Amino acid sequence: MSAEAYSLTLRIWRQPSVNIAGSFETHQVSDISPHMSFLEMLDVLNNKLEGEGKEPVTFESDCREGICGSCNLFINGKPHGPGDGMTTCQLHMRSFNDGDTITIEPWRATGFPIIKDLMVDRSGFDDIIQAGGYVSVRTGVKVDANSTPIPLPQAEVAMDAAACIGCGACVAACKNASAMLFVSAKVVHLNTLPQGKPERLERAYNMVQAHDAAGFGNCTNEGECEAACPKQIKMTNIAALNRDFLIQRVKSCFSCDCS
Amino acid sequence: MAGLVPHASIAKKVVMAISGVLIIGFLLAHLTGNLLLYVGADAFNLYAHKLTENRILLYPAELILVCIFLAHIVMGVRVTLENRAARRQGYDQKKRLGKGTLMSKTMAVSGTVILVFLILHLVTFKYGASGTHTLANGGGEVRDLYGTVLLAFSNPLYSLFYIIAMCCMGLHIAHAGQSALRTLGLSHERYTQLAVKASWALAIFFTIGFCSFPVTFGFCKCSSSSAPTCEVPATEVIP
Repeated sequence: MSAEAYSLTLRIWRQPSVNIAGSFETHQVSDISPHMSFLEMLDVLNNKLEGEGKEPVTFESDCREGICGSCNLFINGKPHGPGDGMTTCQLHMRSFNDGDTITIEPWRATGFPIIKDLMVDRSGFDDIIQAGGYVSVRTGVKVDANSTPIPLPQAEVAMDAAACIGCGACVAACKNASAMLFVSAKVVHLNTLPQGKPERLERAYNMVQAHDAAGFGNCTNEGECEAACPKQIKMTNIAALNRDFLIQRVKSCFSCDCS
Repeated sequence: MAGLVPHASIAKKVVMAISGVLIIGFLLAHLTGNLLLYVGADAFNLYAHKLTENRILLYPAELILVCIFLAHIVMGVRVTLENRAARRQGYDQKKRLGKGTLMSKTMAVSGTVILVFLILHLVTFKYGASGTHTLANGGGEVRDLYGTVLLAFSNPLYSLFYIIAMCCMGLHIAHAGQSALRTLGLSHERYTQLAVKASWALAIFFTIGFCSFPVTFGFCKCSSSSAPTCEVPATEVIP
């Protein structure tokens, strides 16, 4: 183990609540091991602040192994900080240099109102899931595994889409604060599988409606979401979502149910 | 009727995509017609005359065209305003992650330049003053749109604005082409790069095509009226 320890300057967004204006606060931390994760570094800062009788910085974290999607920080101008395909908790301090100034901001989107400091309310995503991110099944005995054959390519597409952890980095990176990558991942995940097929079109339509109602922007096919996604969800999912949405609209128009 | 007004974000984008594709079709027809400028005053003026002669066909065609443009513009403004509202407070630091391009970030800007150009273009050519041109072989007298084109491009500032607007249109199309395909659900990983390249090809084709007119009839003629390739127009120009 190297004995080196970093001293860092942190520019952190502090905001008491959604309706109160926030501002940046600068803090110094020292004795930071390069082997620490980014969140552990923030824990060190909060320990220090508490020791000084100050309000600790509010940030969200849960699993700390890159699968829960809670640790949403906009670090130095990029969701989840430097490095591709990883979350903030998987980011280690060795990605930085001694003496660096690190700017930490919350996700900024109307659909993600700030609860406090770096923590945002992502219940807009819950609303989208509730609108169609499920498969309706009859209750009863659990069906046997592999009783529904699924071709491997289809299973792979669904699995890739299912990797979405709903962290919201796509929204944070998008210049329009659009959540289409999230919606498309959820829709493609279920629509590709035979279990999700029967509700395919309604799912696409309802989830897009919920997306819009939550205050997210319109997708302009930039692709910054794909570059920011810690699970590297592909933008082609968005085209697949658009396809299902369009088919649903056209079908509903022909069934005289234009609404 | 209320059902025809798109509310969902994808529906709005689909309207933009379809109207955009139709506008591309219009541009192709427009550019093809304009190439007659290279044939000469007779051919171009006769083409312009034939195009506007049949009012029964002209007015519905113009109405459809106006509707297409309006649909594209209205949806564009709505989408842009909604997208601004979706992030009221911006980031202090934001890096480009490499996927977004200059074009994709400036669609509203290039669109506005094209709109200003479109209005000026209609005022200058469609509703602008023109002299009359007597067709060869006793074809009668028609509007001298060819003369109007030469007169407009003789103003270097107009020619320059024309070229700038066409470059903006090129940037607009370079992003719009592949974006429209994605919006319409026509995207596959295997063809993503092909779609991007095709958009660029389309953009460069239209930019060069339309820019050739001010370059040939404006700058070429202005700077070297004695050059053998630039003949002085035989028609009478009445501003």
